[in-house]
Amino acid sequence: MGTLRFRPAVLLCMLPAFVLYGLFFVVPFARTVFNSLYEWNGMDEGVFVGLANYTELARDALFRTGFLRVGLWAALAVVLKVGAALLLANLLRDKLRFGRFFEGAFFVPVVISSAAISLLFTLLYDPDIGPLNVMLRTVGLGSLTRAWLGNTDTALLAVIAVPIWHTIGYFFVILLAAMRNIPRELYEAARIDGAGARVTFTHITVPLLVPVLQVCCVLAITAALKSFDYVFLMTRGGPGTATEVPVTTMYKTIFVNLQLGYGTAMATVIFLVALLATLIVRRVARA
Amino acid sequence: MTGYGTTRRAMLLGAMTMGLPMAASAAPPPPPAQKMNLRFGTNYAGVHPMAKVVRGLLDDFMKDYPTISISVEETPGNDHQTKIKLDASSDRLPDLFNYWRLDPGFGLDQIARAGKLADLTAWTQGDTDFKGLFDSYAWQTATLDGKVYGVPIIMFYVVFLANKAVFERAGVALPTDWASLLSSVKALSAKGELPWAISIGNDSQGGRIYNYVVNRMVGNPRAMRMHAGLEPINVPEMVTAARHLRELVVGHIPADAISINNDAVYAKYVNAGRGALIMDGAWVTPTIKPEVQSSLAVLNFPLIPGGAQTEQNIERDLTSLWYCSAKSMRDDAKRPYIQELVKRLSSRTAEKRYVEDANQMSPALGLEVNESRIGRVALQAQTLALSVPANKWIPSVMKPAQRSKFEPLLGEFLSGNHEPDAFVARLATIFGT
Amino acid sequence: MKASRGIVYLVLCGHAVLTLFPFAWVLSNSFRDSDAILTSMRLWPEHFSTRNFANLLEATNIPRAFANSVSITAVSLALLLATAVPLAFAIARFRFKFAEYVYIFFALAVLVPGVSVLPMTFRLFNDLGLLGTKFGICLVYATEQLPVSVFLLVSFMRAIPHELDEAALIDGCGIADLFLRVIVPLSRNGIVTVVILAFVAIWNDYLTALVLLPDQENRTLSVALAYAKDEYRVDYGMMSAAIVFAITPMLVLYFVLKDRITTGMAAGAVKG
Repeated sequence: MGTLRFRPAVLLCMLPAFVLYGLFFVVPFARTVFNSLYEWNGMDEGVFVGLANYTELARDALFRTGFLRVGLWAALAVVLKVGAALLLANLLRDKLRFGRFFEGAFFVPVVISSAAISLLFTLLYDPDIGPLNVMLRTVGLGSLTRAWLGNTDTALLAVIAVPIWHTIGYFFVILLAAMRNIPRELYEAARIDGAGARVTFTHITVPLLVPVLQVCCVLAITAALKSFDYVFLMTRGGPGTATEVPVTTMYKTIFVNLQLGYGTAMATVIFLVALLATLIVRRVARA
Repeated sequence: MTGYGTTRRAMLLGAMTMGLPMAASAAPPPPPAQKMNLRFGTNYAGVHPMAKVVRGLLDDFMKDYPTISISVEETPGNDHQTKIKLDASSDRLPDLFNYWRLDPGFGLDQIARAGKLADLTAWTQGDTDFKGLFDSYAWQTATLDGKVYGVPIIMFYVVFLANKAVFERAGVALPTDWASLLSSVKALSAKGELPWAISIGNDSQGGRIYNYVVNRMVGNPRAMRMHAGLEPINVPEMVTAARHLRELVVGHIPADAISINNDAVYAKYVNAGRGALIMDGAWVTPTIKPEVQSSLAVLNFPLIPGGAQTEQNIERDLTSLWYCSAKSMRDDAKRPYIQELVKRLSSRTAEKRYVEDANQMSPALGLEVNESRIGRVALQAQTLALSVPANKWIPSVMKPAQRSKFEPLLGEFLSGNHEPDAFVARLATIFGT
Repeated sequence: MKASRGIVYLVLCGHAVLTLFPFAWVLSNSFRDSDAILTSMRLWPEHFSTRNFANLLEATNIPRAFANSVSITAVSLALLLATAVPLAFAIARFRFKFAEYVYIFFALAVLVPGVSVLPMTFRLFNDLGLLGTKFGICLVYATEQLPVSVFLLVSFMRAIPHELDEAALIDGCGIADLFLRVIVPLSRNGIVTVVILAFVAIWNDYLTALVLLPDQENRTLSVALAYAKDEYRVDYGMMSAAIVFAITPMLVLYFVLKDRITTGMAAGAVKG
């Protein structure tokens, strides 16, 4: 809270942001919730159907399975992304020789767009030229080669691996900054008490990072729920429906099938799930 | 059905009389004094054989009408459907665009019924330039609820091709009937050759094979009713069809068949001389390299013993039509030029170029074409296509939401993921019987 | 101790290779043609051919898309600063009852995935006649970045000693002078952080541009790149060149502004 006395000019300062935010966030958000009560193809007059879209959604196996996939994605993201970032940050907490190089290298992918990364991995997973298959063939494991994105057994994990790879560096930087903010005296004291690296890590570093780790978990989970680019650009939800997630299903429902009412109901559910996940993580971290 | 095969001479006479300028034919409008821009939406883009020809016709138009500029909005392949649907829902359809038929499967019927498409009934029936240009079947296909919405462009039929070089390399004979087709596919696989150069993603060549096998087993009219939800689909004949389909396809396709698109199949397999069998829409023959074309044989898809179809049929229909936005055609300033452009793009001159330069099959009557320019494969395939009755494309009766469930399911099945009876049971949940 | 140090370096090098290898591989392929790429895997091309890049510049609309991305991002950032900085100033420096509510009101959007609002933003664009315009999307980009930017700016501005306000006003400064001459210069670091964060987010966006810029001539780099995937699917050299073309500007920027970007993004995550 500031200290200056309120005056009309303050309203003037806030006006542009309010107009922008009201028009391009509040209005579309309200319309999303409102339209989810209609059956509407975007061209004719919509028909009010109450909660029918939601009851239909509850029975929509594709949409439900999509949430299971995102659940797996979020779980893997939390474990691998946060886990790897925590480990790497811990290794680089104290300045090492070449430490700056590693810090710089790990963060590189984060500044690249998910569209470019998705295309890059489409090539990396390619059954003919992809290094993954080439290496497998080289070491005589040719029988393990496959079209990683084209195989129903591997496609989902292959897709999930990409955003995890893409953003480990982001979490690494967040955690590294937080670790370096931990007072050095704590570590000194621990060393004097004879604590080893493992004990200092579990008894000092991790407990003090809980608030930041909580932020990382929320970010990892909501990112999984919101991610559209990777799936859409690498597999379009295929093969079959093996990588279909709620946002891609919503996109197709609205923009391909023109079921705007049903699609906005999906959008509303995605929002509610994201909200719920955020609240749960906060509650768990507090306990 | 129509064509320029057997009835060419008679048609040509008709064309000569009708080609003469008559009083009722509207004279081309003079160029507008004001600058005008027309939006043209198309998926004739990239490697599509129609792209160059249509661009040429547009350029000719702009030369004759220097004050008119045409902005071409290209969206490749089936993304064109998404684009047009979005444009319709935001009331900004291009002035003129090509699109599939008005069947539910393509979603244009909803757009027409919402009043977004121009009703061309009075114009196409009154303007003598259209008289005798297409037969009544073509106009029927352009009609929904008694109103004509489209002007025909090109026909579609399915070609079934064999690369003889691959068969020879494997020492396998070209298939002549159902049993030999099945055995040749297995023999090719055993020799390390790729039997099918196909994609099995959404709306892919895999779907074409599904159509054929299902039609052969239950007959095309019944297949259409089943997929429209008018007749039970979970029946023993369909399970048999699924079993045949599995035997014919599963394990005999590229490893990445489900993740590559139809065009990529040509670059990666067909034009690289890999893949013994090709099944696809006829528009693709021009994209096959000449050296591969020279070793291609045109095949009949064999009848299946015990199936409902006992004589040869081919999947064939009008596939592309010109449509105009209702809003643009209400605009008195624009209308004459859109009409002139449509006329030029569907004239015999244009249709002749679609046949000769893009190797397409034309629905226009009375075309005189130079057969040597069509190419051997396309010509043989067209001759074959016109010699037998036509099957309709099964997905055309599906609603968009059903299609978006059906296609991934088929992809999974062709990857070997479901048992035939389980697959048919899942079809039943999609099509509601 | 020696051994453990060895393990540390092993892990670090392993992760560095995992991170950098894909870039090296695609860079190498961008100088090779499809046949060579299909024949062998190389991190150093047999010879450097710039044909893919020449092709990319001449025959595709990717250069145009690059220009679109530059102008759209610039306008969006200007719009963002014009709205976020005054708002943060109001919240951070003035005492009024509903300041807290204003804060919460803007926090709402952080909880709503942008994806779920986008379809109705599309309808709104249509109703406002913004669809088909090139810069309409900037309004949405600025809106999307507004909440996080405001939080960051408020936290930066709150750190400025309050005595400065009083002193400035006593010296006869108006509110506008206080804002432009005192607060904005003193929150320079915050503004730079906000600009970097928003730049990375806007430049890298795909979905919003895919939906709100339907016209070919307005496509941004990410969208044009995705279309290139369909067009050059089997031309591996061209695909690689397109990817390299798209990522190089960001890499250069990153190497120039490395510390600012990393600390900015870390701060943005935690404070936002």
